[in-house]
Amino acid sequence: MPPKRRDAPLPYTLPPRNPPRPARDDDWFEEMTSQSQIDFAYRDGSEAGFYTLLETVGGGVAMLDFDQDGDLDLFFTGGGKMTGPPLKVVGLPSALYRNDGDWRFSDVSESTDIGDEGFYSHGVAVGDYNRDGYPDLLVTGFMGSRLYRNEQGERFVNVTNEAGIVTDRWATAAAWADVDRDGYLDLYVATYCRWRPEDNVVCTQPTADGGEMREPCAPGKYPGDRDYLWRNRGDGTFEDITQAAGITAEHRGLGVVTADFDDDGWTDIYVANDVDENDLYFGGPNGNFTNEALLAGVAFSPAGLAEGSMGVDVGDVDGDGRIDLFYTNFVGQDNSLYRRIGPRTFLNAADQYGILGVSRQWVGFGTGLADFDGDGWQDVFVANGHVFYGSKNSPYFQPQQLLRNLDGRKFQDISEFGGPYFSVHRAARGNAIGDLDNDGALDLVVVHQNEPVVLLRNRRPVSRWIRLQLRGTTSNPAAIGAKITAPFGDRVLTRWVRSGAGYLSQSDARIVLPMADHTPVSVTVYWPAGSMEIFQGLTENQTHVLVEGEGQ
Amino acid sequence: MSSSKAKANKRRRQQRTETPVRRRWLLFASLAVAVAAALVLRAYWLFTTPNVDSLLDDARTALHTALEESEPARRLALARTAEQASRTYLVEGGADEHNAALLWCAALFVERATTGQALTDEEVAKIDGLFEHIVLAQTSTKDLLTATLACAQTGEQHVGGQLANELSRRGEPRVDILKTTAMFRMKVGQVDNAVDLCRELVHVEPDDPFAWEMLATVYERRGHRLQLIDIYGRLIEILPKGSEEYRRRLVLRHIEIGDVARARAEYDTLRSTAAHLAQQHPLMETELLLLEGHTTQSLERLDKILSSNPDDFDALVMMGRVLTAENRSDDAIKLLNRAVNIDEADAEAHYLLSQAYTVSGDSERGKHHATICQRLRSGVKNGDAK
Repeated sequence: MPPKRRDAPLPYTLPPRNPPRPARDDDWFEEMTSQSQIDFAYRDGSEAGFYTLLETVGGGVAMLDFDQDGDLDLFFTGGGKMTGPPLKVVGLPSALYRNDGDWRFSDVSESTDIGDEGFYSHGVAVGDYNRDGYPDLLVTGFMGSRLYRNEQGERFVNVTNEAGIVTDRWATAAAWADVDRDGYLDLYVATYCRWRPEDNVVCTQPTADGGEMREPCAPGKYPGDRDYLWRNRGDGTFEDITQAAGITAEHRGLGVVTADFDDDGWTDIYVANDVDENDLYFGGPNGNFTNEALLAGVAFSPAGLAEGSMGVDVGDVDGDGRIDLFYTNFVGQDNSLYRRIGPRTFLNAADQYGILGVSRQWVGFGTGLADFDGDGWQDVFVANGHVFYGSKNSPYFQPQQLLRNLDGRKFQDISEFGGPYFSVHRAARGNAIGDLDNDGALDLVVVHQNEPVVLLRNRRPVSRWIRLQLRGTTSNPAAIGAKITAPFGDRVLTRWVRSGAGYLSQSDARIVLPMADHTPVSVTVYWPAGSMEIFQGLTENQTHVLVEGEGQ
Repeated sequence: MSSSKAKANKRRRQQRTETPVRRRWLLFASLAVAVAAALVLRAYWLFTTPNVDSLLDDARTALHTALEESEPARRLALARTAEQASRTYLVEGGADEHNAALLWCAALFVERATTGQALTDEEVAKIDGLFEHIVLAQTSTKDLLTATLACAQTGEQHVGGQLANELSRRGEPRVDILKTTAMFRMKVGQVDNAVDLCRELVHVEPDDPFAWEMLATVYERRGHRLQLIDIYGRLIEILPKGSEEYRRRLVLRHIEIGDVARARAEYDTLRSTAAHLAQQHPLMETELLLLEGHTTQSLERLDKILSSNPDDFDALVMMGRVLTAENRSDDAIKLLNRAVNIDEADAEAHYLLSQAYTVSGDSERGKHHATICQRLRSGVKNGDAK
C-alpha cells in the first residue's frame, strides 16, 4: 500500500521540460535574455519543503526609467527563502538593471543601494511620490512594504519609516494614484491573508486514487485582510486614510489597477481578489470611495461566484473609447473580460470575444492589454502557472498565452505564433510590457518562479508610431490616471496612464500609439487634475513629452 | 397316580409353560408398538418441528437476499423471514447465538427501514440488550459482512460502526471487507474513512469499478474536477459496457476546465456510442458550442430546448446568461424572471437578472436582485479547490 499522504514533488524536482521549438520568421517575440546579460530569478523558497501559501504568490517586474536617460530600466523583486523548522521567512535581494541600449543591461543593484533589503518581496509600483522628477519605488512583500526614494537617478534610499508607510501586513499588489487630485501620488496597497510562519499548517489536495498530496495551503485557509490607502501629505509623509475613505473590505487582494473607470475625473481603484469577490472603488471629490463592484457587474463570475482573481489590466479592447477590464483567474474559471457599457456598468464579454474556455485549464497570473502588432487593437498577454506542484490535469508548469485582438470584435489565441518562449511551459507570475529598445513595438518581460526572468523582443514591425511621455504640472508628475485619445485612420485610440495593472508589476507608463500614415497627429489628454488639452502636430517615430499646460 | 390326576398335572404343566410365552409375545408386541409409535412420533416431530441449525442458514439466506432485493414488499418479507428464523433459533437454544443475534438485529434494521417505521423504544432496548451479549470476535466474518451491509443500507450508525470496526480488524476476505466497510462509512457520512478504504481497494483491485465509482461520488460532491477526469477515464477503461454515463460526465468535466478539444472528442464518442444520453442532455452540447465560440448555434439549441419545455430551468438560466452577454438584456430579463419564478433560491439566476436589469438601465431592480444574490451566496465562496 502506498502511504495515504504523499508530498507533492517540489518544483525543483520536477522533470525537465521540452526545449523550446526553433524560432520562425512569423514569431511575434524573440527571446533576448542571454543577450541582455540579465541572469536573475525570483526565488519563492519552495525548495525548503514547507509548502506555504507565501511561496505561491510570486514576484514582479517594473519597467522604469530610473536614471531618466530615455530608456527603460528593469527592477525585479527578489522573493525569499525559508529556513527551519521552526519555519522562518528570509528575504532575498531584489535587483535593478540599467538599460545600456541594444538589449544590454547592467546590474546596478549594489551601486544604487536597492538590492539587499532583507524582506520577502512580491510586487512593485513606480511613482514619483515627491515630485522631484525621478520615479520612486514601492516594493511590497510579506509583513510590509518598502518605499525607496530615487535620489536623482543615482541611488535609492529606503524611506519607509520616515514616510510612515509602516505595516506588518502581507502586502501584494500596489498602485499609485492621485485620489484627491492634489498633485501628489497617493498609494493603494492590497494585502493578501493573515498568515504568519507559526500559522503554517499541513494542507493537502486529494489525488484521484483517494490519497492525499501535500500542497501549499489554499488562501481560503486563512482570513483575508484589509487593504491600505495612504494619502500623500506632500511633505514626504503619508497618512493611512483607508477607513476614512470607506475601504473596509477584508478580501485577499492580489491585483490592483487605478484609473478613471467612470469618466467622472476622479481616480477609481479596481482590486482583483483571490477567492473573494472583486472590488471596484469609485472615487469622488469628497475623498470617499464606494465599492460598487457588484452593481457594476465586475465582482463575480457570470454565475455570480467569487473567483480566484490575480492579475488585472484596463484598456479599450473594442475601440469605443470606454474603459474595459481584463483579469486573470484560477483554473476552472475563465479569464474575465468586461466591456464598459454604461457610466458604471460593465458587461462580461468573455464569450462574445472568444476567450471562454481559452484559459480555463490554467491558473492565470500576470497579464496586460497591449497593442503588440501596431494595428491599434489591444492584444492580451497572460502569464500562467499553477500554485500546486502535483496537479495532473492542470500542471505546475503551464503555457503562456498570447491573444490577438481581431478588429475589436474577438480574440484569437495565437500563442503558437508567440515564439519559442511560448512553447515551453513555466510557472509564470508577474510581467511588464513596454518598449525596451525604443523601436515603437511593445516588448515583454516575464517573471517565473525560481527560473530566470525572460526578456522578449517584439518582432512585429510597427513602421509608424508616436510615444507619449506625459508630464503633469498640476497633476502628478507622471500623469498617472490620465486618459489619452488619438486618431488612427478612421478610428480613435484611447489609452490610460495607469498604475498597478498586471500582476505585482509595473509596465511602461509611457503610451505608444501606432500611426496610420505620415501625417502628424493630434493627441487629446485628459489630465488627472481635471483639465483637457490637445497636443497637435506630433510626428512619427519619436517620443513626445507632453507637459500639462503646454497644450491647447 | 391315577390317570385323571396325571392328566390334571399335565394340563397344569402345559398351562405353566404356555403362560410365559404368551406374555413374552404380548410384551414384545407392546414394545414393538411403542417403538413404532415413538418412531412415528419422532418422525412426526422431525417433520413438523424446525431444525435449529437450518434456521440459522435460513436467516442468513433470507437476509442476504433481502439486501439484494430492491422491491420493497419482497425485501420486507425476506427481512421478516430472516428475523423470525434467527429469533426462533435463539429461542430454541441454538448454539451459534452470537451470529444469530447479529442477524436478528440486522434483519430488524432492514425490516424497519423498509417499512419506514422507526424502531420502538422497546425494540431499541431489545437490540441493545442483544448486542451487549454478542461477542463480535466470535461472529463469523460472513455474518459480520451481511450485518454491516444491512447497517450500511439502513444507515444504522451505532451498531454498524462497531461491526465495521470489527471487520477492519480482520484480514480476509480483504476485498469484501473493504467494500462493505467503505459502503458503510460512506452511508453514515464518514466520507474520509470511506475514501481511505477506496484507496486501499483500488490498490488491491485496480480493475474493480466499485471503489472508483465510490471515489467518483465523493469527488463529485466535493467538486474535485481535475481528479474526476482521471477517475472517469479509469472507469471507462474498466467497464466494457455501461461506461457511457461516465463519458458524459467526463465531457462535462472537460467543459468545466476548458479543455475544449478533449471535451469535443469525448462528446463525439458519446454521440456515436450512446446517442440517447447525448440527446437526454442537450445543454451539454449547447455549453460545448458556446465554449467553441458558436454562440448563434448555441442560442438556436437553447431556443429549441425551451420550445419543447418552456420551464427548463437550466436552459432558461443559460440562455439568460448568453443573451445578457450579447447585450440583449430585455430578452434576457424575460427568461431570467421565468427562471427565478421557478426557483427563487437560485443565486445565479438572481445575479444574472441583476446584471440584465442594470444593463437595461433599471438599476433599482438590478440592485434588488444583486442583494438577493448576495444574501443567497453569503458564506459561499468559489475556489474551494484551490
